[in-house]
Amino acid sequence: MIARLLIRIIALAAMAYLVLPLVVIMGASLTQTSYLAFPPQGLTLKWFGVLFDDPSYVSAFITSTLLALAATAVAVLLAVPASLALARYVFAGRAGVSSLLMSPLVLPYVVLGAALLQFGNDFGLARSFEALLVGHVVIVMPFVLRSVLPLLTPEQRALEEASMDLGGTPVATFFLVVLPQIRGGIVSGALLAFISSWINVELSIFNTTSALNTIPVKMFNYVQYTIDPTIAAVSAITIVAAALVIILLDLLIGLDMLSERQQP
Amino acid sequence: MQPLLSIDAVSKRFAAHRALAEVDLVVEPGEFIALLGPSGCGKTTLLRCIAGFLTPDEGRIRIEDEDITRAPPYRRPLNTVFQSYALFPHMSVADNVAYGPRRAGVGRREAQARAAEALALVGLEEMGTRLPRALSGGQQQRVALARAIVNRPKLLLLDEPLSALDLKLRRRMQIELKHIQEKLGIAFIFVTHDQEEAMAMADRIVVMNAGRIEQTGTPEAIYRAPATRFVAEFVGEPNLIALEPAGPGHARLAIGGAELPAASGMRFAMARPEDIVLVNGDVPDDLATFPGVVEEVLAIGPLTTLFVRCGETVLKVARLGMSGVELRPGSPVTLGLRPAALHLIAE
Repeated sequence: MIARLLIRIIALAAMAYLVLPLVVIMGASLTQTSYLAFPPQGLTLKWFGVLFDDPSYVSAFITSTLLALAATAVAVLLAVPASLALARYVFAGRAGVSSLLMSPLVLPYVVLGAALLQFGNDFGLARSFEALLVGHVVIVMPFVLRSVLPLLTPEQRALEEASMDLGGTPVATFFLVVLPQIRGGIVSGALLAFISSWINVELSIFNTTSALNTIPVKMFNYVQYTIDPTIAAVSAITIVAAALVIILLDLLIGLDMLSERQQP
Repeated sequence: MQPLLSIDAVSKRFAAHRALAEVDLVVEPGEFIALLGPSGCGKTTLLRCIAGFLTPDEGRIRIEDEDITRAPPYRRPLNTVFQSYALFPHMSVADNVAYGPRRAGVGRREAQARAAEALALVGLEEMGTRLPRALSGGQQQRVALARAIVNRPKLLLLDEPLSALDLKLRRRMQIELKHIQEKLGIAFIFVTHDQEEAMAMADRIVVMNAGRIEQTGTPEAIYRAPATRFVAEFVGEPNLIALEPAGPGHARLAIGGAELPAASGMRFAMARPEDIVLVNGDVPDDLATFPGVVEEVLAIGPLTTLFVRCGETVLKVARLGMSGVELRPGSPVTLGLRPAALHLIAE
């Protein structure tokens, strides 16, 4: 009894620790003062107005969203066939390919960003949306790989064989048997990929310009000189957007399928 | 009649391991074949070559006139019941069974009708709307069977399909499978390592060992006249009595000393435990007798096995029911066997 109560208290404390900073930042975005204040002094939405009146913020929002969507889409399209190949076939250099694809997880993004800038220069692609996209695909692909690969088990392989045994061509087998089985992994991997692209500063900062900017880089540059509630407003929008995406996903496919493996 | 399946000199290697070595096999339409052998003998490899999940390194596999050695699994006129059942977890039982007809181009309504018919055949007509995980192991096994026969293949491959079931259910399914096979007239190739299962179900048993076929024959031939010592020991309990040369065309039993006609090169005479009898009183003329001492008595109900030491060798003697349980270790007995009825084995 006491143990259960203790667990509840610890759980609530942990949740508070995670959630309270978000409450603070969202509260601060509503303050009437021109500096960050919590609890907010007076209530106003003017900082959101300032934000939407600033074309550099609006374009950064658009760039970040397009970049994260495109990077996630490309990463899924590359990572799903890659994980099928890694799980299904034995070929020379398989371990090497696997480590290479996973390596962005352990390499500092700063290094990747600098390398991308230098490499992009040689191709005339430096500081372009295309260069950013290439960089983001590289860093988000491991998230999709890591969530899809563990689903391609020997039991899953047996299902594919059953499908082919029953007359399913490889294409039919992929869409009718493989895809439904790894859908949860793809969705959770894509979610992580989208988020890690959206919040990336280290790689993007080398490859952005004043005209081509992402939200986190823009914020990073902004807070170096000024701290006012527009920063809180940007954060609040991001938090609300993230919450909306989570709710949408829950309504569409159910979040429980992201948190645990489906029983066979 | 043209054979349904012909396997000619099929070999398969995995790196240094020789999984199949020049295997030949012919299966007639409607036959029930058991592929029997210990794990690692190549029986599953052979089945996967027939199904198309593996391609042989050498040799040919034909179904009727068609060479299918290199055909992909989805173009072969046969189906498989997998050891793990491999039911699609995201589809209802009916959709699982309708999967085959749908891939063959049958319309949705007709495919569902065929699925319902196949499910009725295995006694699961009520279960169509459930998900596979809501069924018991035995029911899943039936769904796997229904799914594999719904397209009416000429040949059905079964990879140890009953191995996950408990003993009683297993016995019941053996009989049921045999009835379904006879009713549909589909040829079955049934992989198992359980010799009783093979004996109970098959028209012919193919005993495999180390990538080779040791013997092909009816259950009776395999049991009564095993071609090799391996077959004699893998199927049932043999008593192997060494033979000593005794002039041209004859040999002498190392136990009891009886002489019998034997081709040269024969090294053992095999007697099944039920071939050896306990002798009391009158001895028929054709019975060779010899003394022994009981070492152990093992009574399991329908059968009692006596372990009797005769010199160097311990012979197993089987008796029906509980007769013989009064014997104690150390009791002297007289054993008898008919030399003419013994089966001789070269190696």
